[in-house]
Amino acid sequence: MDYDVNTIAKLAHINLSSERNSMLNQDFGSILEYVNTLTSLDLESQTIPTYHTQTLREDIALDNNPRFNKNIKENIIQEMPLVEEGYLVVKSVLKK
Amino acid sequence: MLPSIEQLHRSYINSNTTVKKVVEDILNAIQSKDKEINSYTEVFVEESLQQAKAIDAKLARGEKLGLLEGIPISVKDAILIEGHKATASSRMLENYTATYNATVITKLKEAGAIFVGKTNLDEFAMGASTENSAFGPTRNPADTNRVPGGSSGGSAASVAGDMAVISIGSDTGGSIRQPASLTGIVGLKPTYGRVSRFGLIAMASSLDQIGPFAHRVIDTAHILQAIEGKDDMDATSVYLDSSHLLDVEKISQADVKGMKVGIPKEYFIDGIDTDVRQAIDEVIEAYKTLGVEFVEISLPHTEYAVPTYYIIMPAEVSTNLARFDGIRYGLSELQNSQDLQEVYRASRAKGFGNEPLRRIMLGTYVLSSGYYSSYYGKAKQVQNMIRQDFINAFKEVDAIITPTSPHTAFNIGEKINDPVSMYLEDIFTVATNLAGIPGISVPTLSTSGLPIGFQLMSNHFQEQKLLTLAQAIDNIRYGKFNN
Repeated sequence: MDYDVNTIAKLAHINLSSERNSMLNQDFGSILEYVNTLTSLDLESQTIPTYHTQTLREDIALDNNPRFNKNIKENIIQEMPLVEEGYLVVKSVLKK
Repeated sequence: MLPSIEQLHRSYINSNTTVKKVVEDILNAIQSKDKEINSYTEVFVEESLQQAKAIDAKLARGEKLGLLEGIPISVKDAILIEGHKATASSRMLENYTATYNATVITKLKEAGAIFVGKTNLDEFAMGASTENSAFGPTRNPADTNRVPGGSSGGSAASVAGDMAVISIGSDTGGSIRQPASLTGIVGLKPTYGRVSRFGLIAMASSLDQIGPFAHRVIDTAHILQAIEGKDDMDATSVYLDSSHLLDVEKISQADVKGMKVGIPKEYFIDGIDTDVRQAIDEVIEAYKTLGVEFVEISLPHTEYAVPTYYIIMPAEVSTNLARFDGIRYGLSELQNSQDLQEVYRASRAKGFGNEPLRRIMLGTYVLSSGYYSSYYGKAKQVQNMIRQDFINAFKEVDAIITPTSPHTAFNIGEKINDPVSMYLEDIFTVATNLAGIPGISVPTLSTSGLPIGFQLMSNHFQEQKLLTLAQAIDNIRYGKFNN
């Protein structure tokens, strides 16, 4: 099977320890071998639509929604790891 | 076994007991049993007692009591209750406090239910044994060396262990029905869209559905009636017209004469334990005496259900869990990282346990360039074929019967290091989620050995038929009109 766990980890934005790297290398082979059962199905010769249970999400306005506590903004800010003057702090994306 | 909702309600209004006494008994049971079972992640002692006193005061004033007022309920710790921790049994959310209520919580609160606490689960609802919790495994009250199933194992154990009358869980591939089967209680997964998912920590949004656990079928009907319906906060929830609304009184009568149930030949395969097969046969015989007709049916794409599920589900997991990046909430390595990418990578590595990691990685792989169409695209096509199998079957039958699980509860540690073996735990339940239809697990009539459940499935929004059939077995077990 054609996969490289380090490349996948990079795409998934996760650091991999050496233990987890070897665990995933071992598990990925058996999981992919199992899900590859689907390759025995001939879908090329038929036109089968894909299936979605979901419709598009409607926009939800938080402001003045009676379902939310009036302090919800403050409560959300309280959950943020680093805040300055009411704003969320993140690391800079572009180097100066 | 704790009294049913209707029994408790009658006891309250007839002054045979008080709400405070019932809640105190539940809290005492949690204190004495849960050190070993580990079904709860948090218990709301003061809050539930205060609510109980308020309802007792209402009764003392001679005010009318709603059916769910004073009913002690536990809630899977993936469903938000404002002001309480919502951990999803993950280190990632260990210190996260919910800032709003899930819609099901709002509805149950308005109905007067008392939340006694939050229950343990496999991390982010990923697992079939509740061993993947960051806060330790939950044990099966029927045999504490065995798992209670998962992912809603804490919810199932809290009800099976008489530490809650009802529990609210979620089911993405069998996470309500399989633990209900393994612990000997009833677990209902409603039709996708029947119950709002707003406030449920998402695992796989197109498959997730919230539903109840109880000892009694009729109790799951009462809870479904309270939580179902269109919600502006969940665009996938649906408006139910009068033909799809539940008639609980009619369910309790369990008039099943003339109903037709399909036995899918693909589900009764080698590998099912003999005692499970015998218990299902016993249920089928009991139904026949009530006038239910059984026919063999075929669901030809059944063998592809688990592989399809283990492509679609991780694909959605990898996108849903991308939000846990250490920036806005949850575990963060912001202060220990040099740049933004390192914040993401370090926070996610530290916050996620092995099973979420496995599924995020698998989902990232099947959605990546070059693999998308051969995995995800193909799986979505097969999902449609599985759904069509069910639609065709329900042209002939009212419901379908299968085992919920091929075997009884397995030992703790038995499968934890073999992911494929653990994934096959969902073999009889995932197709229901892929098709979006409702399913219920009900204890069989077997009275010896470990609990065994059977599963009933019906067409979309046909919970009335499903619950009527399920209630018929409850009526045999407990006696008719003994709800």
